[in-house]
Amino acid sequence: MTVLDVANLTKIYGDACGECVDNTGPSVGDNQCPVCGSVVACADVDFQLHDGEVLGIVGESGSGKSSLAEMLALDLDATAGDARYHAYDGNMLSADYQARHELQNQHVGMVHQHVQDGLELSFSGGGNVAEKLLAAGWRHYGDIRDRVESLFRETEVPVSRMDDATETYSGGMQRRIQIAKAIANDPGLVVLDEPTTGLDVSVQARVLDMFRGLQREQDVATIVVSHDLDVIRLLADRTLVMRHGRVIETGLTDRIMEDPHHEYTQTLINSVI
Amino acid sequence: MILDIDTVSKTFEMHIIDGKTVPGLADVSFTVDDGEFVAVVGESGSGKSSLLKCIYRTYEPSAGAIRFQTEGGEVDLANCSDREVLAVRGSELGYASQFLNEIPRVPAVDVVARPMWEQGMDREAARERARELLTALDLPAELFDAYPATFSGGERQRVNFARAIAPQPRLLLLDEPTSALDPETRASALELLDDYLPASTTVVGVFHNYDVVQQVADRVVVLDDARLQQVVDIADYDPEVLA
Repeated sequence: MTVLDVANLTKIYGDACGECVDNTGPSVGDNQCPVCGSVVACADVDFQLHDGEVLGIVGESGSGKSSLAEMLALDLDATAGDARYHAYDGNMLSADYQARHELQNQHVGMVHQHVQDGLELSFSGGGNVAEKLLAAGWRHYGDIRDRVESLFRETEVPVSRMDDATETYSGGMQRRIQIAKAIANDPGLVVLDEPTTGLDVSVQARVLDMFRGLQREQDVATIVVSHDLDVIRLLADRTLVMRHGRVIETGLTDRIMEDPHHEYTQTLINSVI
Repeated sequence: MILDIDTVSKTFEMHIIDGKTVPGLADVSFTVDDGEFVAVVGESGSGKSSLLKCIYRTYEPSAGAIRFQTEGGEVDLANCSDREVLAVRGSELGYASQFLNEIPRVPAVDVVARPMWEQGMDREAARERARELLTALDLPAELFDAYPATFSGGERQRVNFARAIAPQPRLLLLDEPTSALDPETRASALELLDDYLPASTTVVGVFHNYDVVQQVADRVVVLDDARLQQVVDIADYDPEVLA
């Protein structure tokens, strides 16, 4: 089943002159329009995501991958494009305020790169997760508490820390709380933006393995955005490689890693330390 | 016939060295019957691993067809969609690479059990079977719950081998699965292929060791300089003449 079908997704920062897309991209070697100065974060991105599938999006800083993630999580308005989500009638990118919140609360879970974008740090960890349940209509205190506890267990955060302020948690725990929050309402789609950035190497593996276990168990369609090829290699079934705001290569993740076709992908793979 | 490799070629275009092309395989054709064990031999760089990687689609063939008769019908692994490849890998096609490449900090037993539970087996049942396989491969029991990153080459290779055979795929690709094992452990591994895999399992394996080829193979595919040199029955295979 197709969970998400994305076509021509485009984001331009600035007063686009109408020729920005033609004037930018890998063939030009830049993502800034020489005519009007607008920045084309991404343009003409097409892909389909099936249930249970993990799609990796890899590229260097400024390649447009985070803008893509934020648009799909409905945190950022798209300049153009079409995104069909299986449980929504129409283009979810043009959903009105109420429909957008419903999608965000119940269907699309987002794990932000910056923890302060995803969590209220002065609230308790449990409160952050409970907020997501409340937004989806949960009302009974005992039920909410039980659900939060079970989410803490699933994401391997000590239940004894549930009522502590989130700012007292370690970076790895904060990331896990974001994951708990993202999956709280059994979403059909999860978007991870740089899931390991800022974490100690020793914690990165635990977070990735925990997420991979949950993802496979729940068969949730997932988009992982990362500049880290190891993260992509360990999580993604298929991968899109982005440069200057365009998708330059698509394929099975192991094929991209071992048989890269595009010149830039070859440079990227060969740049791993 | 389960596998039909039809004039498969693979060339690599290296943009980093001015678009130079490097041949990996050139016009390789042969077929494999159901339940057959085919050994692929040849010197280093002759294209043995490239051939397995093309079948698994880790390399995308530049030309030709690789027709695999799956339970759900024929799939051309050289030309089908990425999703079809993933579906076949998840159910019928297994591959043990030369090197174990797993997520860090996952215990050996879970590395082996994971492909089974991803195919729907109960977690504990999968772990139990993983322990049995690792035991049969003489891996010390105290290593079952340790992380393979700290293992020796031979220990890692056993974990990798156990993981590949664990889900009992219909078509199994082995890339020098016993190269780092001592003769005794190698014998255990080869015995396990016989005992654990159903007789209907088809295997295409790359081997360097002539004794191993002699012991397991029904037919031998000889590659030389990216080309198919010969396909012979094991009874007619003489490495001295062909090498």
